[in-house]
Amino acid sequence: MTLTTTGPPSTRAAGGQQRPTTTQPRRIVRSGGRVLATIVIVLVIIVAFLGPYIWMFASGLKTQNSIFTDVFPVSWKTFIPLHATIENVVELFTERDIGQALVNSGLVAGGQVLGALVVCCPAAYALTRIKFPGRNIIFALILATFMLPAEALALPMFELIGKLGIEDTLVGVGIPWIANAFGLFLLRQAFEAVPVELDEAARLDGAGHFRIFWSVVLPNVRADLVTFVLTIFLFSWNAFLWPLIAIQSPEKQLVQVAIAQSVAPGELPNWGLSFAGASIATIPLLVLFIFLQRQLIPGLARSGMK
Amino acid sequence: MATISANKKSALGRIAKRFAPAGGGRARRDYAAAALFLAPFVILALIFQYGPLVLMIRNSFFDYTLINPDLSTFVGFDNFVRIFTDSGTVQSLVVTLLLAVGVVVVTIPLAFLLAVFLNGKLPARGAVRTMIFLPVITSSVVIATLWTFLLNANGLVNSALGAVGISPQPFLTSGSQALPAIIALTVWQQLGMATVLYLGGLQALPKDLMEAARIDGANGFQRFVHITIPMMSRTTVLVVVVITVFALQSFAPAYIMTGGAPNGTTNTLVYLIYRTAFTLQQPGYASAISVLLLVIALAISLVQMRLLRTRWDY
Amino acid sequence: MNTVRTVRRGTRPKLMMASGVALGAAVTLVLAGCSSGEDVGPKTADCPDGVITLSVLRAENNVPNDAELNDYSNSVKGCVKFKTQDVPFSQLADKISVLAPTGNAPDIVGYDSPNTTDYASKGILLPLDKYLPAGWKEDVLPATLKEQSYQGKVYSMGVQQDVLTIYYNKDLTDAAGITVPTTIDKAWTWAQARDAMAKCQKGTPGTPDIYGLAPTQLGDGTPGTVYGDLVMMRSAGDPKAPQDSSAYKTFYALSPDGKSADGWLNTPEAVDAAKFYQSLFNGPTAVSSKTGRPNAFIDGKACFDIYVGEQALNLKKANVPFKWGNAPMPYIKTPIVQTGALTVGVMAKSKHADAAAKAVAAMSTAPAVTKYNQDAIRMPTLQSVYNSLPMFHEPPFDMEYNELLQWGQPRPVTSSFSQYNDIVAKALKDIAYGSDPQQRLNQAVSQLQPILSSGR
Repeated sequence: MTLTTTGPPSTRAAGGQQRPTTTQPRRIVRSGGRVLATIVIVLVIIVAFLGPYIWMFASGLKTQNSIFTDVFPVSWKTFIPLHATIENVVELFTERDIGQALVNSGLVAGGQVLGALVVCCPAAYALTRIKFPGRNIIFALILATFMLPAEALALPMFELIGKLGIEDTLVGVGIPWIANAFGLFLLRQAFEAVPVELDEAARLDGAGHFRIFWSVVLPNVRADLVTFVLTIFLFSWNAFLWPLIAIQSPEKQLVQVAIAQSVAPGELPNWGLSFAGASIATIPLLVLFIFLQRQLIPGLARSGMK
Repeated sequence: MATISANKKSALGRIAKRFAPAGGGRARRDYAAAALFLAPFVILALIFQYGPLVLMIRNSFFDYTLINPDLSTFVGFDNFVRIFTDSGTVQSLVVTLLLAVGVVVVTIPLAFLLAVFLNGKLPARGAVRTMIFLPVITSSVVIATLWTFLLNANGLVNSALGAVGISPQPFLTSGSQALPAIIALTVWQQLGMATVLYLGGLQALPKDLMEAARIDGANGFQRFVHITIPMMSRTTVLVVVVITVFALQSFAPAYIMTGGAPNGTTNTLVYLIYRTAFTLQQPGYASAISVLLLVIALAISLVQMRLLRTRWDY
Repeated sequence: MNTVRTVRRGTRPKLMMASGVALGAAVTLVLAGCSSGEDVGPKTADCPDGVITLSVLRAENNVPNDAELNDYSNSVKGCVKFKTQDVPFSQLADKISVLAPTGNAPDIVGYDSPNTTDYASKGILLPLDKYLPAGWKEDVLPATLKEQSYQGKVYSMGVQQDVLTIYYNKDLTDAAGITVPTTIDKAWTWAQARDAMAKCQKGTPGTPDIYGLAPTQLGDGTPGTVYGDLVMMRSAGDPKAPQDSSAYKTFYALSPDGKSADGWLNTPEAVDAAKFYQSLFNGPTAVSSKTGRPNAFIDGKACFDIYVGEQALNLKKANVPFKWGNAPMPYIKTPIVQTGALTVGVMAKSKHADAAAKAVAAMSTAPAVTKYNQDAIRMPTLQSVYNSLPMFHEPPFDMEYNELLQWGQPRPVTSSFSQYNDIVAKALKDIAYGSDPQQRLNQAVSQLQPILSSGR
């Protein structure tokens, strides 16, 4: 590798090896350049990521006509609802029963989270703490279900819940995804990070698997459990095709499907309603996320360590 | 699987003994505990993941309609043969693979550099991280809707381009721009997750290794190339697998934004499956395509894991 | 062990909170899953058979609407109640086909009438012949009767008809010096119409400030619907030509037995028409837009707009500041509009088929249907109702009615209509976006042929 012998002087300086006084002005220029680059990168991120959301929230508070007039040409008016109206929001709540849909989605997501906790935690324990033959095969078979596209399975799944007599119920829409492979994967990573020495110590104290699981491993993965809970909640809240197929009664509809009626694929979109609906479907998660992101992001990040 | 259920039975008989002090037969007790701990998950997964999978595989050998499922004929491998003789399906396969490759190729370097950037000293680090993570927590329905309006002839992007003197672009209606537009959307949606995974990887880099390299005279760039990048290979495998699987399952953009147009250039496999089953009333054929998609997803994941692991393992 | 615990203690309250919420949710979830409604209530003096609840599946904002259902419910002293489910129109056909074979099938379904053959041939709709009032067959529009019958039986009585006319912004057309035809015998050809649209348009073709022709309000607001756009290709045909000629076949766009599209959908006439259609969206001749722009006409941003009668209602509601009128649909060789609208049927599997059929029959005949047609401004399917409603004898509805009677043709009749509709719509959209018309129509035919010939 030629790179090991020929490093540019500036990088060597930054490496802190030789720092002759002559490079001082250059360092200032360089750090000035770095600040500028940082500002540019942050600005690009703001425009690319925050911009669309601000536009979405602002447009949900506008009439359809003013959305169009405010877009061309782009100005601050595009992103600020100058004559804010809540008529879109009101229509969604009064005529499309978004309130009920929000409650339903909360119930299903909550139920899935609880179910997944009960089912995945012990499974992750067994897969990380107990040695038994076929462990890796079982994990591979479980992980393989992560590759199953939920959309491709929707049809046979519908057949199945029909056979089980739980079609058109909130249970039917929630239960199939409780055994969540990605969730298990997250937990397995977290459980593996808990030192095995703790188990051994507890075992010497006479603890069995259940006690080790409950009082040694679980207390040490609390932060990861928050990640897990949020991830499952996220999957559930954002699911679309499955609830669309599985639920028939309007009073049991979930929020993404309810929103999609104002955003109906194949339907002439009303931009104001669509934006308002999209905002309403997004805000609960956004709030949850902003409060819990200190747990969520490091938790997900830890799954990338191994 | 057989061992599990056999062990489960013995486990039930041994619940009382499970908390007895360790001694002879610990292995058997371990198996029993493992079976008990795994049982709820495995049972649910068997019913709700493998159950539909078996149904799907069975359906792929039949020709029937949704509206009248009792009238079905066994057609052997006809549905599978049809996949490769049907130019629309072959095109959809190509489109889906292009989408996956495009998303991976763009996301990986971008996410990695962004993670390096965020790993440095940066005043608004948390805020930036939150911003790029927003699309990850937003539903695909909302994102597809938002992007339809962003990319519309009267949308925000064209308006912004107009402000700098670029003529309006036919993003979603032109054969050469539609798929890149969907790739851009998917990258936008996945970048936050990939970056966060990389951040985790970067933060787990052993500090003493870096220090040792520094003492040996390696400069920042060298350390980056020879330590950081190789050490990130496992993270990269994870990120690539997650992104690939996500891209292979792309549905909402085609369903909500393009309907597969123009000329099938955004006709992703999962959308094709949905449309074939529900609108075109050929669930048998749709099941066959689903089986193929599953095989592809599994194969790609296995190959990626194998390849990246042997090359970079440390 | 202690250190690890201390470090992570901070997250405990949040986790407990989250678990608490989840637990509460799960309990409610289970409870919600267990409660299920009984569809026959107790017998009462008013209702000797008990109160029957019928489930209704319908397209959003469409038939049978709440007013119709409530009126019927009141007319039978509340002995029949309804439980409705609304889905977006575009998901209606998919939803019906998913639900039809299950135990969750609705009793009453509002569906798009061209699907009658499909549903009837598969036995999912109940024939309504024994519920038809006396004289009904003589009163109903022939097009409606034909569309909603299968093998001599009536499966839906129809409550409305809808046809396209072309609305114009009189302020804009006057300013451009265009005289728009206002009777159907003076209808424009498409070449004339495109010239007028181009003359009236302002700005760059493709992305104009004022559109010559508004981006469509049909379907998802982008080009390519069978209902709105296939009609142009069909108008290039000629029903009076010999039956084996391509002109004749172009007009019908599908063989009479519904089994073949080859040589019907991709004739030379249809390909030429498709090229013309393409020119409306591409290059310097573009007068419309490939992507949607909802309400362009109502916002005063378009000279012309092709739409159904509902437009008149929308224009009045919006109280637009410009003068407007409507003109007959342009054509290439033979004037034509396609008929068919959402209609109401009874599912054959319904446990309350008799009650459901009685309800549908009552809602589909005067006076219930008169009230519906008047309130929703939807053209009647019964001649007697038409005669009793003066509003349909005046502009803009007289134009629609004349078109319906003189030009009306059903959409291609096949037991695979939803597949035909989907495949042809995708082809038309691609052509509007710039695909080669000949190639794309041939491709659509080759996709359709196996489906049509197997008769699914």
